[in-house]
Amino acid sequence: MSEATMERNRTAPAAAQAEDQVGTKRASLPLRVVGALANSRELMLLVLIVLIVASMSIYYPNNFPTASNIRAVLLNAAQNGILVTGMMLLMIAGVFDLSVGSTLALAGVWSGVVVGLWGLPPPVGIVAGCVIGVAAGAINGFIVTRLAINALITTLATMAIFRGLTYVTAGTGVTPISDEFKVYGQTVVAGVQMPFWVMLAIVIVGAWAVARTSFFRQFYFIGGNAKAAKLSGIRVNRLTFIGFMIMGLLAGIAGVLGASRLNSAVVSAGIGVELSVITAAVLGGASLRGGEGTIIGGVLGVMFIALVQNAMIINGVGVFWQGIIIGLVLLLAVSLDRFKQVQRN
Amino acid sequence: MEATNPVSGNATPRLTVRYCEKAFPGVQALDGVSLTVMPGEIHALLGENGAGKSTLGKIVGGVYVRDAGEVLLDGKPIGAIDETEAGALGIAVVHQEGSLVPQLSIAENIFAGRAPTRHFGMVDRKEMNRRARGLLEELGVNLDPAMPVRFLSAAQTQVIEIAKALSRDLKLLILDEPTSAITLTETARLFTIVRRLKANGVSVVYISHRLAEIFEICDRVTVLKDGKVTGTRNVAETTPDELIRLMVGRDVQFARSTGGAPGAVVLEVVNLAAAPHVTDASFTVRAGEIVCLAGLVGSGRSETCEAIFGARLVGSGSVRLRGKAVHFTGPWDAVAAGIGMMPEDRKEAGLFLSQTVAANIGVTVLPEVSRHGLISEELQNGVAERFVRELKIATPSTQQILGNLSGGNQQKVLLAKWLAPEPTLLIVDEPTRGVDVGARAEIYRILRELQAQGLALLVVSSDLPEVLTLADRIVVMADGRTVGELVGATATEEDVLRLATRYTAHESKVA
Repeated sequence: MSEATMERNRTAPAAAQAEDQVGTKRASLPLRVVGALANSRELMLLVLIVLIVASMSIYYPNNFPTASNIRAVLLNAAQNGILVTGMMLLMIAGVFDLSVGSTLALAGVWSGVVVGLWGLPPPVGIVAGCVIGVAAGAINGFIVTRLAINALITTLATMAIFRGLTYVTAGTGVTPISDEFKVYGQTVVAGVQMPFWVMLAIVIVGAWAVARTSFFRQFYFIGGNAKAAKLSGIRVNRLTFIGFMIMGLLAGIAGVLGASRLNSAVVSAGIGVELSVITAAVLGGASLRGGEGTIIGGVLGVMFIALVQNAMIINGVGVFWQGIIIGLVLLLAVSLDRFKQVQRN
Repeated sequence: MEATNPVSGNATPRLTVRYCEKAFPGVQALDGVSLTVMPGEIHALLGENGAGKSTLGKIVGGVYVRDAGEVLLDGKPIGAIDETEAGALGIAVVHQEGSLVPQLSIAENIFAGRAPTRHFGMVDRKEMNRRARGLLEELGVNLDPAMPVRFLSAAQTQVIEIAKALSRDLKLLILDEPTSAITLTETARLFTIVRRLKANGVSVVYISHRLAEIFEICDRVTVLKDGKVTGTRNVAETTPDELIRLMVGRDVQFARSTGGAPGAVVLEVVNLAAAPHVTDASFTVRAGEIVCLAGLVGSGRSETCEAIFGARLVGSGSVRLRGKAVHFTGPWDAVAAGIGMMPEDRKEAGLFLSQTVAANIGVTVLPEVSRHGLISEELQNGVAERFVRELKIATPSTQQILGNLSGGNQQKVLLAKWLAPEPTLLIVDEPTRGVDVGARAEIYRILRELQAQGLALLVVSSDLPEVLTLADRIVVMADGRTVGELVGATATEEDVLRLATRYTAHESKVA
């Protein structure tokens, strides 16, 4: 250790504040709008979503703003909306879970096996799927917190393992499961199928809990500085473990709902979903370092991606372009943050 | 002042440093330092923490660039160089951080970037391993050059660093605190190597604050204090007492503790051990008392605190809180039992710089700032505003992002964070690291006030004047054990240093 390196990057508060004040006083209206958008990822996504909806409604009045299309968009967003709630929580704590797609498939297939093959009542199948999900999350959480293997490696491995277990359980899936089982996913309430309403409930509860409860507030401290959190008396390992279990439960619920809606347990369900969920979370303000992000942001990210997909299909530009657009928006949003940071320093 | 060189009469010095200066923000690390090292001389740089000895070593080794002054090697001036250029000139620095790549083999590390090649630039592994083995034998160690460095102990790694330095034409070797991470037997082996280098005409600058080692292998010693040279002596003609006087020799500016009337024993530590840094620590802290843990860097003070706080596994011994033995599973238990700990590194381990002042203060009292499990911004701001007022934290509002505050104010937020849960024992590791003089005086005042209110305070500090200013009692640690206790009101810096260096001195039999 060098003895005299103390305080080499001391912050200069007075200068930074003065700059801030000058910035807000002098900024013109368009600059202030850009500033507000850069400061709130939620607001930026909301504006983008409104822009897409408005322009699509003007250019494709017969295809886009129809009841059936809106229904389809909302239903499409259901699965990722459920998953992003858990993913956002993990990312706030500075970790993430790549195995969600595999967990989802494993849970869906087990509920299919329990109901479709063993003939047990549907509620038992639903519980079985959720229990599988929680167990998968607990395994991830155990490895990450107790064996101290990083989340990327751990969930990369369990992603492969859980997918493998799915194939081993039911090589070609279970189709059809049963007529009593499919009600849970196919019941239509106010014009939209069940999975959307479940997603809405989870998102509302999740957003409220993460924003307001002191329990979930602790995740921000863990992601902000895990060492300081531990030395502040926060049970970092226990909470991270719980975070993974919640993620597993949500993946289980999404899997069961998916199987119920299709009345089919598909072994390839949720392939690639982990990356689009993480994309949505980052769009919504999460950072890989942790400590940042809100559930609402993540859900808006999911809605944005779902809308872009839908728009690409309707305007005939083609599905191939959606990746390019989503990728560009992601880079743009993150560079805006970077720009902000550089300016602040 | 300049002592005559015992090695060779009037040859050109291997290293000459003239009026060297170096400043870091807020600190004049070197203030006109001059020194000469002769060929084949082992020259010690001695000084307290922060005296500037490592900075000087790093300037000569090309790690830092000096602000002013001259550096000459064999009489030839050298300009602003980096480490690679220093290496090409025959100067090598071995410091604690190390420069080896753990995954690569010993030989690859020794010849990093200069591996012998065959046709088409293919690395000639056989030749490389052969030469590496030769170098290792020269140093008297028997290691397989093909072995990855990550399997080596700290002492062996150090030898590889020296071998790496030897692989080119080595003229000057700078060893920065080489024995801080190795055992006594390993130290003896290192000294054999250093003596062998000396016999081959290599000059060595030996940076240390362990007196015993200096008396064992060095020819001359230059003592630094606050960036200035306070004296150069022939080791054969000086005494430990004289060197300690040279290291300290400054006025104590702050008023001493008057020693109040402490109350009941709050913390009692008995034969505490927490491998590998704490081997045997015993002391007590009473209510309304400030006890300072003093000692050299690496003596296990911070680790002792972490063990008390439940942040480090306790191997054996006991911690008693108000007479009851406690066994914490983690810091959360310590917090619940009424202990707070301000860690040494506030940015890495103490604070959440990207969050608000209010959130940082509220983190230790989440239940108190919540209603029915929901965070109440109102309650949280109330708590924060109270401390902003009481501790005079300079911030525009409690909603300010903490990273925007100055070091001194961040330190006060850290203090507020630990006062909020109203602890009965507060552990403060380096209370004034990286804060300016004004904030320092204020932090002393606050700590004194807390003491008067009956709080038990355990303070770790590497700053001896600070220890003498604050402490009612001083517990000195060395090599993981508590080696003595002094009364704060009457102790001198010499007393503390003597205790802190005695243990090692005794072990290596120096008068």
